[in-house]
Amino acid sequence: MVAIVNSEDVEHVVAQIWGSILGLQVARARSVDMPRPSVTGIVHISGESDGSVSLECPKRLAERAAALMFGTEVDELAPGEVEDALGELTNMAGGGIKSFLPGRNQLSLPTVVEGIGYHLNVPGAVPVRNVWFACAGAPIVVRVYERAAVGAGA
Amino acid sequence: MEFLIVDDSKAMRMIVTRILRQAGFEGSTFREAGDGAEALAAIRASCPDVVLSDWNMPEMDGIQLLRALRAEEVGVPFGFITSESTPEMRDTALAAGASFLVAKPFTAGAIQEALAGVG
Repeated sequence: MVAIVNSEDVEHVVAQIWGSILGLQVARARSVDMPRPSVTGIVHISGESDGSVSLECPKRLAERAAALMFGTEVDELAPGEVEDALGELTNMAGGGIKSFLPGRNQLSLPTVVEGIGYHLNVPGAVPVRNVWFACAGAPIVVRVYERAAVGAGA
Repeated sequence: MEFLIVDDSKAMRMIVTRILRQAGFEGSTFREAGDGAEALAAIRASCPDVVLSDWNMPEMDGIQLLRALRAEEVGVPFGFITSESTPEMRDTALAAGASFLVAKPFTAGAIQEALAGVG
């Protein structure tokens, strides 16, 4: 999975999604301390490849994205709509990245977490790509996780 | 024309509706369902002109919905709008009776082109 999905692939996928769905430009950026609270979505890829794709951004950017998707103002968002929006953006990122992988693979439904002091752990997998972006003055990081093949290193 | 938009994301259902209007279907009726099971019940009650469905959903996914419809001999035109856009998934969709599969994110032009082929 590592050798197949490069940072430019991730950049292409994310830029296309945020540009066409939200009308927001994203640009590659250096890694920064993620402002908290933040929101993270994650989807899992299974099949001939085995890994995950996560997308994290500050809550204020997630709220802006949700407002754009729902065609409303940030202060008019209903409970659950930020998570819905971020989950769908993660779903699309995962689907786009999955398209670079060989063979038959499936995408899970997204899981979304929001908070200040959380740490995301994907059991048995490590982040092999960490691609940072800047969007509307806020950071986004997309991580591609790879799970070691059964028996690897044994 | 009446569309049934099936997606577990309310945000995506709104985006699909918005893009359909941009694609020239502003005078159409747009119904929604949050998963395949809800869509199946809605279609049984009143069949739309076109079903636009996501693939991955809880309860009943899009391909299960399509297969259920075809098993009941419901021939409603059915298209996928999904992040599952590999050639294998496309082949699976078409083999099950879908008219098209449009990958997310998508444009008004892409949906216009896909729907142009729907009878």
